[in-house]
Amino acid sequence: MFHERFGRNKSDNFWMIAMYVLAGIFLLAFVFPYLYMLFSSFKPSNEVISVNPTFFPERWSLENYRSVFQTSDIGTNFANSFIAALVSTIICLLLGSLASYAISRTAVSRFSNFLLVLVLCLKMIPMSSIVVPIYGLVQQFGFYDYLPVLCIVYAGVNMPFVLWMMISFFKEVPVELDEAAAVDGAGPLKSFIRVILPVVTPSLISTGIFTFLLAWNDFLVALLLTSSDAKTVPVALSEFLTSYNLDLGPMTGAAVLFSFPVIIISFFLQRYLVSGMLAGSVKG
Amino acid sequence: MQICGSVREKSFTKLHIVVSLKNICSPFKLCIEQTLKSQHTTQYASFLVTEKGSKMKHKMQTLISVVVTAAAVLSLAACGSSSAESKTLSILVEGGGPAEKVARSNAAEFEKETGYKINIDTSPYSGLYDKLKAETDSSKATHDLAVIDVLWFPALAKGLSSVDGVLSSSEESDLMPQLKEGGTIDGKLLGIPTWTNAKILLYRKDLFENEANKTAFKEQYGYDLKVPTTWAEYRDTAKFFTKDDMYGTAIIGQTGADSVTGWLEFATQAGANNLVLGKGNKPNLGDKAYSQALDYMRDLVKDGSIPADYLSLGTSEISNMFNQGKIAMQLTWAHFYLSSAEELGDKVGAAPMIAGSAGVGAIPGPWYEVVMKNSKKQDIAKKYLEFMYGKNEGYMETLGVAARKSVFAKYEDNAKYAHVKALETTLAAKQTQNRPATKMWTEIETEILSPLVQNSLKGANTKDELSKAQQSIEDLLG
Repeated sequence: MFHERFGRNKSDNFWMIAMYVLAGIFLLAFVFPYLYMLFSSFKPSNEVISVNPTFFPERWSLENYRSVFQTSDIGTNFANSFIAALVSTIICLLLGSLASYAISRTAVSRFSNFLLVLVLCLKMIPMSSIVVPIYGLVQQFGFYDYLPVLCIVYAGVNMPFVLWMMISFFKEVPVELDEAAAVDGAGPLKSFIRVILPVVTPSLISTGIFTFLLAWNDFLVALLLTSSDAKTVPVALSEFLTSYNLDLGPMTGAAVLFSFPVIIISFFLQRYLVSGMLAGSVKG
Repeated sequence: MQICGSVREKSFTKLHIVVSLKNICSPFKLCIEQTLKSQHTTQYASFLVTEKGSKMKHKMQTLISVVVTAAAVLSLAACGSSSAESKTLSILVEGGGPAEKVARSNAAEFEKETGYKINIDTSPYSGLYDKLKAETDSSKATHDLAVIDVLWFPALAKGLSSVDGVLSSSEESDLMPQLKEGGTIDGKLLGIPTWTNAKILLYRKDLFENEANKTAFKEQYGYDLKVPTTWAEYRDTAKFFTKDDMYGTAIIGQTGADSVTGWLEFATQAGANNLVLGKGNKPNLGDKAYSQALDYMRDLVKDGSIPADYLSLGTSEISNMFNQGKIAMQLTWAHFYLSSAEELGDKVGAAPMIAGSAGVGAIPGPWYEVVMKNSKKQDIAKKYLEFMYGKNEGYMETLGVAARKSVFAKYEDNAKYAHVKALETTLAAKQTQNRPATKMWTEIETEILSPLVQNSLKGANTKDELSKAQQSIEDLLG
């Protein structure tokens, strides 16, 4: 590996430094938009949309944050986003882990494979093409702008992702564990809860994080299914831009606040995220 | 409380749900039934309430009980609020926009007058149309009323109630020009106008009044510096003010509807009538007014009197540049005057839209308050329209535009609203006309006309581009 050879000779050192510089440039390119938004949120509102923008605020101000809380129901929107993302993730993990365990243990069945491909195909359909029919159904049943329904819809649309993630994890758990549990007298459900689930807990957490983020960042579904009571933060954010107004200052403040939970989750649970992303990358 | 049940499908059209409702309070039981009835499931389902469940089907019942419980719990909120809903009118408006502000500020008064509470639902601009379209297509109204853009009438028409007769003839005659025509589809008025808007000329009054500028302009162009009223004057003035880190003007080159409207305004000033779709719904882009308008825009580009990144500029960006002193003149929606005056004080002036060979022309941008056809509260909804017609001044105070002539007249001598007279003149001009009322307009605008404007501004042959667009529209309309 490259790092193991670091320090052997001048040529290695040169390449090492070049790699760090390159990594730094890439890092800056990725982080720049966020940092620009972060510093913009501390600029006075009229400076945010300046024709000659500066990276750092010329005058630091909390005006945008004050404006966010004064002009919108951002607290309620945050609560809605959090509840919708959390509840839908719990539903997904609960049903998804049961389903994927069952499918992983009956993989020889043609029907299971067909089911999986079908689920994947459903995930390939653009959300924009299914969200209007979903809206039609929801308003037909009289559940428009109702938070529990948003949770259920998120659980539905994110379920294929959970299934595909969890199946790869369950397939890595030896069948011998199930057999040992069966010998000890455990039924399928008991062996799943007592034996298999503890083994895949880290994978369950990483899948849960991704599922949470999918629901947390969603705009389109919430845009159509909510209006006032169940409105989530991404939709509330978009209302700072109307056909008659361009209120970018408070929008940057709200966007920074919205990004915090994601940053906190990523920071504390990054090892699960990495293990989740690399799942199935090495076989054998 | 215990709920369990079983489901068995007897036929494709009939479903039996057996529910054991032990120790369940009757309101809750009623609630489940009411909810299921309200959700049109009764045509498929019949209910048998028993005291005992079948042991053989215990597992199945457990599963079903989860489903039934979930449905029942979900329905609780709807049940609990059903009586309140009967005295509530639900209105959908653009969140953060003037319609929301005016609706909120008058809701309490309407409730006091009628006993009906106004529930204001908000959505961003992009979601408004999708929600209303879905409501129209599914024939079920979640909202009783909505405030909509004029462009959506053709697509939503079948889901809207006629509001003919809501206003008396004297009230109708108090509406600004083109408003009644804009909201009329197949001879039926489908919305009560809330406000109308059009592009006018906003300019830097201080620059036009500067003596040094006046002298230099006269020397350079041979006539007095004045607020431009024609294409030629506008072009000269734009060239003259392009100096000292400032551009004379800007044009909208951004992809989308904004640039198309900007071009069609020039076209109407050059004499185009029945914009884009002429008589018999046949595209009329062969008319020389369209090519003259494109050529005029290209002249402004060639002169260098507009910012170099004109292809990425829309009205909001241009207005922002104007407010920050980077542009001397802009043709923009009249309501931008208020924010510009807030930034630049009395340095801002407002004048009617400029004129081409056919005179002053602009494209109105009105919004309307509509009643959804499937709303079960038609009468009270129409009463609300009438009530809001009386509150039209609220839009003038909030946005700087309104729908009624009497409201305009009240504000035209108010120094804070210096744009009002300019807007009235522009709206009354003979070449001012609405965009075509066709369901296909959004598609025509974004997929055919927007690329046409951008390609022409980039230097493509305007005649070829117009001819291609003509063909594309003909193909699209079949």
